Amino acid sequence: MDMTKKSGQPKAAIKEGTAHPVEWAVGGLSALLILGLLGFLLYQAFFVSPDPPRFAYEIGRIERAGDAFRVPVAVTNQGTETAAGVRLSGMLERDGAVAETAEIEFDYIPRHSTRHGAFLFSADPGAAQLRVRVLGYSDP
Amino acid sequence: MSGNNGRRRTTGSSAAKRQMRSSNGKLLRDTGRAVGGALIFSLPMLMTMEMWWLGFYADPIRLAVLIALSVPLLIGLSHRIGFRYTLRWQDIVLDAVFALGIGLFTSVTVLILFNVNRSDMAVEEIVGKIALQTIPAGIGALLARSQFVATSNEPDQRREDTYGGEMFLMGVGALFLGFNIAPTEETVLISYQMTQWHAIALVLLSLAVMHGFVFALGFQGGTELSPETPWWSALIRFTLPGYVVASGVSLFILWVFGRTDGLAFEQVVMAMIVLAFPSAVGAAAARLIL
Repeated sequence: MDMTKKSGQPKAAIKEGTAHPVEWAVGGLSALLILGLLGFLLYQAFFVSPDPPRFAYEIGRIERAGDAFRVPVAVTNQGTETAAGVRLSGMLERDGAVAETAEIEFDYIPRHSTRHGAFLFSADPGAAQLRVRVLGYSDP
Repeated sequence: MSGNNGRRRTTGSSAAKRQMRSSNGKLLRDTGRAVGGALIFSLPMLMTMEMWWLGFYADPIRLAVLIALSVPLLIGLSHRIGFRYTLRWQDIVLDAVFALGIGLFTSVTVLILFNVNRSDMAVEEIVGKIALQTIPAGIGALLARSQFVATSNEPDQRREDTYGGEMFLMGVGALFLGFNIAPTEETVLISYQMTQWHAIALVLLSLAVMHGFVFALGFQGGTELSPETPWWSALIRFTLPGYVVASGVSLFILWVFGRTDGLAFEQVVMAMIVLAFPSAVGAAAARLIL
């Protein structure tokens, strides 16, 4: 916004059709930024190969939430394509048998991006083994 | 106005009374205009459910930043197109505050009528919803001055624009259209669907559309451009900076609305390009809209 002050001075010159150097400087800088943006996109288009969604999980600290246990989970899509309607299931296994399951659905997990959610279990997940897996997803 | 004042004062107290009545009439007319402008510009947002949800999931700090920035923005806008033709700073600031007040009043009224704001909601949620809506409504209230000026008998009070003023106007135009579109889920959904090739094409299209507007509108009075200006000169001096302004505004709106959270850098760039398309149109058409 400090442009206002700088260009306020040579107003007469502007009106006569000759551009002030500040205008060219701003224009040149903008051109560089836009070229940079296009270059970045071209680089991505040429050198980043398409990669279907792959998921990595990170389980947070288990907390009591009223009469349930809350297990925060962060899912990262490591692919270069966005996944929609991602269904995540969490299974509590005790002595080889499934004790309880919980599910989360994420609307979107964009490429290389992370989304957060939480499983709610009625049994204490600390006393069992938690298995997390993605059931499926669709293309956006 | 001041000329009339001087002439009427000589005819005594009845003239003073008439003067007061006419200034009351003007206040009423200005208020009506401002409410109309606020409605025209904020109804699309008042009737968008994502905009209500933002009230409870948007980060309060970001909302505070948005509101803090909206005050100088409205003052700048008021300086250019106030309710009155004035160069006194007190009047300009007063106009901006008046517009914000009208924006607040309009959004509160409509949100209560829609039963979107209910008494069983948390205070944070209600305040968040109102705060978000007040800004477009406030801009609309200020713009009403220029929107309805054609129907009034007041002289056209447009001032010559400086280069900085031109960029500022582009920013307001970008904010305006961007704000309308950013809260919807489609903005990010489109960016998920696009490939980099689509994005490149969209950037080029945005620039072309913008340049068309700049060129077509630039030759009308009040700008630095003349028919002799070569196309590349207008492109570098107006279109490209205008696109950068539109992109910056788009990025800012996406950040305020929490649309960039947890997104990878390249995905943020894609979302910015998607929103920069309407924002660029808004920026380039600012001269028409504002």
